[in-house]
Amino acid sequence: MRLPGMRAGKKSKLKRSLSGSLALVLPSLFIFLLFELVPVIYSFYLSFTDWTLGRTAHQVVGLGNFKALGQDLELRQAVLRTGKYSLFTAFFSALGGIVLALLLRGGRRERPLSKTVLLIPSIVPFVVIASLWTWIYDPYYGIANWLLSRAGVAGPAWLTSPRWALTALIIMAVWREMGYNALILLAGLGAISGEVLESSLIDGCTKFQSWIYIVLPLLKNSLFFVLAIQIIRGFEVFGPIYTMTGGGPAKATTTMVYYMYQKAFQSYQVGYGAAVSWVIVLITFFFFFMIWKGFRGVE
Amino acid sequence: MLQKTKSYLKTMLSVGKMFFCALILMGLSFSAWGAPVTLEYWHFYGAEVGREHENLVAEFNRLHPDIQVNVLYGGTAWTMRDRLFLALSGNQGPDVASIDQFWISQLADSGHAVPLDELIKSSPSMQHDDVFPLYWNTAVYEDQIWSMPFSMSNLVLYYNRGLLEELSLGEEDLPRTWDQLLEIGTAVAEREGGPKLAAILDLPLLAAKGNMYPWVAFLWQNGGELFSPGFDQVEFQSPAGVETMSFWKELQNKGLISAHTPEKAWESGKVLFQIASSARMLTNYRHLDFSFGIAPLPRKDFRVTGVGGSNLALFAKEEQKQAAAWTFIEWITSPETNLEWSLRTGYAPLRRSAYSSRAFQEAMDENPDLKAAFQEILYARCRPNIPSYGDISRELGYAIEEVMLLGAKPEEALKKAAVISNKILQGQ
Repeated sequence: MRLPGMRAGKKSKLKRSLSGSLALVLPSLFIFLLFELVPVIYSFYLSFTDWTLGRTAHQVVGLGNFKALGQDLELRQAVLRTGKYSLFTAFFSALGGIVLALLLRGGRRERPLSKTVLLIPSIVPFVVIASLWTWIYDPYYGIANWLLSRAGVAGPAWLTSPRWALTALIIMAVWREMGYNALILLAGLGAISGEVLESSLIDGCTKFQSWIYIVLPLLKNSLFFVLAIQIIRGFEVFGPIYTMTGGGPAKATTTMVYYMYQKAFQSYQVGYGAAVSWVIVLITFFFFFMIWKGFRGVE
Repeated sequence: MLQKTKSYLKTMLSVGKMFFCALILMGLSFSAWGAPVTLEYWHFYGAEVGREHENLVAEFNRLHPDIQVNVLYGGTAWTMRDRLFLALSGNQGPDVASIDQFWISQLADSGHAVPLDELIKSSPSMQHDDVFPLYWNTAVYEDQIWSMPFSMSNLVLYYNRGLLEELSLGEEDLPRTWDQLLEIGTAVAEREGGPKLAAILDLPLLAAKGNMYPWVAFLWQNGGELFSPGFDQVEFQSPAGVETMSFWKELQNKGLISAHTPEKAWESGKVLFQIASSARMLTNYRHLDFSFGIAPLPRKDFRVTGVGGSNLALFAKEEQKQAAAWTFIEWITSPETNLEWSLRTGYAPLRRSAYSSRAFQEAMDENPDLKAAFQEILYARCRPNIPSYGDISRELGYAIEEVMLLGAKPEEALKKAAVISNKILQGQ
């Protein structure tokens, strides 16, 4: 039997707990609204204007910027380049993450120290990493070409060759993201019961078969998360390009966000740059959606 | 009696209130009168030049107790530009800032920069004619002066004395013309034995490294022009432009220059020649552990070098701040400070008086490299201040990359850049 007094007590307790939670969340919510949501909405508005950087006045030009984007050949090339960067980085960093996670799974290697070491590349600021890799890639003094020369291969001019610059950035990003992915996948692997694997081996599966048919499908959610995050990070890549290549050589590393930066800050066309940023959002969302659909089909 | 006391107390209270208010007002006015005017000043001088510059500002603050200049280092020229333009858009910009010459058209058009013509005219200490006309050209946009020239430099040819000797070359062998450069460079490239070089000539070939700056100097030496006289179309695709680009390509083909020259190659002492700003000689290169010399750029039909550096722009609109900011600009570009700045950093003297001063002449006599660098002022030219210059120079930078890195033909790459640049000029 439910007494009216008890109900009221529960309600007020809930109310108190809700208001307490709200008080804790409010500061973060306020910061989020002010520094995330408001700029997003404002950039959407700006994409319909002709605002020139430095000026305070601007005019609404309707869909003018978006119409111009449709004929922008440089943007198309930047989209293709970014797609290539994003997909390769996501695929290889996820693959590397799986390998690392499987190597570290169980035993002594799965210790906090190993996990910390794995995480280091992804938490070190990009400027530091960029400086480090600029020297690694130096065609004369860099360790990359020294290692290749030990194997009898003449290394390329990584960052100054239009043929190799994007690949060089992809390799760096894979190195940076692999450890982070491994941690996520390690957590996913930890959730898979050892009994399932044991019984599959008893039923006659080889180790490889049990990984392919049991482990990977059970890792679906972690893999989806890893790929989705990497695709998003790939589409928003800017730091390494700004610090290492400046979009060159010969535009070989001008990605969408860098192109947006060039338009907004080098050509002072903020309205047009904002329109480019919304194209980036749409394309990222499209890829995210495709991955999500793909994973929904996996059982 | 009570009534009287009440009225007396009331009067006393009123007097007290008035006295208190007067005290507050006096205090406020005294503090306003006594407090220095505070200015926000942004610059992008890093490393040793940055330290020298901040020392100079500290000196100003010491000599002007009524003005306090707060310095903010804005990072590289590019991060500074982004920061400055964003801040100005939100009306949160500095009162004075160091700017690249080419930002002035945007800063003037947007109404943020204060035109300086009247301030210069009414300033007894500014002495307009004392500043070399060449430097005023960097500050003029649409017939008005929008910035004050401050740190000016020009392109020179650095050479490594030790390497020259090891290659059995003397200073008389230094290349004075394009042909000599090609001849000496080819001989060095084809030699057998001798020192191992990271590059024969360090010349920026990538747009991100500023390939445009030396390329334009070469174009001018060859009699070419960037723009038509009315700035209604570009002219860099002319035969002179094509020949300039072909010359660079030949330098590359003969192994004199490369886009893959390692970072800090010159500083490592393994580069024979370098084309770079004269301002590096007393700062960045002061502590190099090899001896180097300075010579004019190898020339073709004309002896020309390019002018670079930074100017000072005034943004303060409020009367008191504007006056204080102008005092700062006047002081930091005065003949005495300018002389000091030039001797400390290697930036060229802005003023005839600084150049012809005894101290500067003695310094040039003591250091022939200083003399070689500053004599080039007579042959220096600055790039034009038009709003589309940044975009057009970027397109030209890409054209250089296409020729040097992708093997495009000079005439085709330049023609393609010209089509895009003409559209930019026409605002399409």
